[in-house]
Amino acid sequence: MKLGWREKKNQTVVVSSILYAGLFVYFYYFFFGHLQFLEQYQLMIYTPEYIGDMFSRPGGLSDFIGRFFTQFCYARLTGALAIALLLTINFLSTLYTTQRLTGRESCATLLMPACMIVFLMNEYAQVSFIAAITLAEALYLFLTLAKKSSWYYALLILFSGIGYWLIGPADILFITLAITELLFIRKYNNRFIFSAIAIAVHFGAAVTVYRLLPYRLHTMLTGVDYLRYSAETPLIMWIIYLIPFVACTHAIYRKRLKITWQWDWLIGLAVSSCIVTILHRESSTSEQFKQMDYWVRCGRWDKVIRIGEKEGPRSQLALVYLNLALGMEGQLTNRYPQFPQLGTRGLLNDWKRDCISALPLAEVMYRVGNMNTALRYSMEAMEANSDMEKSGRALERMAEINLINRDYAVARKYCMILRQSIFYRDKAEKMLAMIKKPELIDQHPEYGYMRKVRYNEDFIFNKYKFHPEEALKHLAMQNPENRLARDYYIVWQEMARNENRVCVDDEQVR
Amino acid sequence: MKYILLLGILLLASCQNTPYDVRDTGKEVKAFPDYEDVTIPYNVAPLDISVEEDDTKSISVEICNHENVTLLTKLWNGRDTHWDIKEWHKILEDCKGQTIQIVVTICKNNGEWERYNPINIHVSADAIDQYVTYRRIAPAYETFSAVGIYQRDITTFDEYTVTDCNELQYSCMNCHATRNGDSEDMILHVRGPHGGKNKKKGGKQKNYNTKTDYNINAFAYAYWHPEGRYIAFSTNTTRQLFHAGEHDRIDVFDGASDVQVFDTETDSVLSAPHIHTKHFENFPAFSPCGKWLYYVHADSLPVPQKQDSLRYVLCKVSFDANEGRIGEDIDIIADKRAEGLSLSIPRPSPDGRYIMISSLKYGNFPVWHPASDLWMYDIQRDTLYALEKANSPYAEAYHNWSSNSKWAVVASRRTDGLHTRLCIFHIDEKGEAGKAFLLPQRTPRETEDNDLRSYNCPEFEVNRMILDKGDLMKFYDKPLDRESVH
Repeated sequence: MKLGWREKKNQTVVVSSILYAGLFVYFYYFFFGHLQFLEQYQLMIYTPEYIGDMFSRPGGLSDFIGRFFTQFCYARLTGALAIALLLTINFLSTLYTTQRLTGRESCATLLMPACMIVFLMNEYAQVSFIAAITLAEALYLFLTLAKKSSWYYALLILFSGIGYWLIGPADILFITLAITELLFIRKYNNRFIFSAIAIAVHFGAAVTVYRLLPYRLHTMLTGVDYLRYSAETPLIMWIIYLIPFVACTHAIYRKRLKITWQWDWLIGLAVSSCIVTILHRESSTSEQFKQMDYWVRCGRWDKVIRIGEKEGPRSQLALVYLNLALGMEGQLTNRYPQFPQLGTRGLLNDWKRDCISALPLAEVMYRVGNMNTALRYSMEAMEANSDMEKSGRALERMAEINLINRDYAVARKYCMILRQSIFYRDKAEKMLAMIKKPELIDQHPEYGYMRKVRYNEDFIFNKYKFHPEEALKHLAMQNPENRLARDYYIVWQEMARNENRVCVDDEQVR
Repeated sequence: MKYILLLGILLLASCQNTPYDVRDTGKEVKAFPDYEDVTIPYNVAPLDISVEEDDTKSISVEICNHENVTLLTKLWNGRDTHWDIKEWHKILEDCKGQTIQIVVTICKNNGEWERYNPINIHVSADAIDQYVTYRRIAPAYETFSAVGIYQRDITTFDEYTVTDCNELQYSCMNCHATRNGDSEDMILHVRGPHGGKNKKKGGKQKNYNTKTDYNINAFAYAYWHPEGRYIAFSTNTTRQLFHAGEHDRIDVFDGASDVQVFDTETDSVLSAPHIHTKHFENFPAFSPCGKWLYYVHADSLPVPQKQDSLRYVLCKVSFDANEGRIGEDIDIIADKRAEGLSLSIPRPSPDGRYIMISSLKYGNFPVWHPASDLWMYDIQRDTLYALEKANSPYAEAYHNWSSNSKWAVVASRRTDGLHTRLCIFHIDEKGEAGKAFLLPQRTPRETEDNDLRSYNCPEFEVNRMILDKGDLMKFYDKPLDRESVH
């Protein structure tokens, strides 16, 4: 089915508008916890060193764009708007690529945003991979402007090298698309030789950078910043590389189906929605935790309890947040038996030397007044992050604790970094003002209170020497104002005493 | 119209030319880092400063010699100096053994110029080794993200990566040591399940799994014998404790520790019952003549319950390099237990005259003790004294000597109480330390504010440290190929 220019334009506008709206709804209502989870491990600051560092390794431009979009995930609304926009641009670049190679549109291009969402469901996924795929396709579309074979070849070789540096290994998608056009559409002389040269330049660049920079060859071939931990490449990333070719194949054979473009796109939307819905349900356990984590970060304890009431805690970490929210709302001692519990493990989870399980521990410890342990787990949450980026959330919490601990020089240092970001700037400025006028800290409703209820004497402890129950007792006894520590202590004792009666098995809290 | 033009010209001229109508404030300039009254080597990189006076628009900085003759004047917009490396080195070369003055004149936002008292800097005729190697890591607890071994050219601002966790797949690494500051003979400890020791001798690398049935743990703190055949090691089971109150965070103690000597020719471990005891032996170091093995010792106490009563003393035992034999008589050569102090990390000066050592309230891990300081043991005079000028109210740890025994480097928490920074100080002929100064940085304040990592275990080197990437990666790619130490 060949469409006129105006009809094609209308089609693109309609489909991309519907897609953007759909993506926004999905991100805003169902995926906001995950987006915030992405943002909290990747602090974007605007200094020449920080940005220069990104461009000092392969994939710098895609990393920059990825981080730029990720920073908006700090807030639910801006995050949904930004990531939906990036995925829509990514969809359009795939659509135009398909149009360029086949002269037709394909509803299979909708697989791209669907698979990108599936990719994002991976806890190690980074938005920079979406940017890299988009840039590779954009680079290919730019190349198609070349009218002469000499220009085409020159740009192909140039972008095979420079593209590798700017986009990273996803540049191979650009090369593959360019070679496809060369072999099947342009059919210039010496096409096989120049195709081989382009591939050689790409892999030559990877090996050269491997020799010069402190990275493993595997990382040079799969991407430095596409994943937070790049030891293994998930299957979905390889599938994403194939989508433009799947879309082209579909576009070529679609005319046999004899359906209108409206129906074609509707089928595409339905299939993509099904993929996302099924896989979202698969990851509902971790998504519930991430949603609770978002509300905990916002201090919306009522929302955490509501999720617990509606769905029940699906994981130990979610249960820890639910119990914390009950405690913050003064309901812990009365209401905890109403929810499936895991004994004392539902009050304080074990730390598994990762950045996820450190978050609830840091939050609970901060709220009960165990400042140094909260500081420790905030640091662990940041440092266990495999991509070596700083966490805005952890830095903010560490700055707060250092304010409370009267370590103003360290608090200032964290604030000076946070103030160079967009979303943490206001909070950092407020804290810097408090450092200049420390009496404001005592007057602050939260920090002043935490100073009162924290340990007021120094002693040394470790996990062998100082049991959590003792720690809670100590906090509860030293200051009667510390209601949360008291409630935790009471519930801890009850749970420990009645472990068999109160606890259900792990199956119930999956 | 002419007034507008005049105003425009004035605005353009404002703070762009040489200072005029300068007002002497008679005050010390607020600048970071503090270089007032420091002694520096003549081959050090430019001591750039960040002026921290309010309302600073631009700065004019003069360098004058001891006769108050201006050698160089520069004007910069903003608060940071940015000395040309060649010009700086020429001035220091010309002023060896003299005192130079850095005179800062500030142009305020309102266009007024203010001059501050000069910063006096003593230029020593003693050169410093060209490189310093260190580990860079966040001051974290158990986990770490970016960690690596880096080498900095002290005469410029260049930094080179020796290896980092991108190469060694997120493994922690530390305890690098070279022989007499020569990177051709070095050893590096990598932690983790595939960890071990990477030894480079005569430019040839080899990986070892140093955890054997005989050791309580893999080799940790290393020190080369001056002749290059032996390396002294400690083996430690290190644990952390945490503070509950304000300010202090962590304490580190050993559940057990021993000292051993590794023979690089036979790949075997030498030990002796008297340094492999139920007591705590740690931080071995050979004397420059190679005839003595220094280490610290503490009597066994139940830990962690009594770890705040553990106090170490400095000991020495003879070592026969020809026979590969550790002597039997142990001498306690420095003991501060009566004063409630523990001694740790002895580092003999290459000329054999002194031993620089950390002093702390208890234990052997000075970096987490704010009160830890550097002391000096004078071997000839048998005296132990504090290096007052080099110390700060915060922790000083991991000190090391330059090859000519005239300079020392230390990791100090002095900038904010948490992040360690490398500081250099001069040792004069009487064994007294000069005031320690921060390793020079371009845009020092900005660098300091944005750097969340700590610099520790510094070591001076006379040459570039280059490790073969392929050999290093054998830690991971073929871990089973590593040879075990017998």
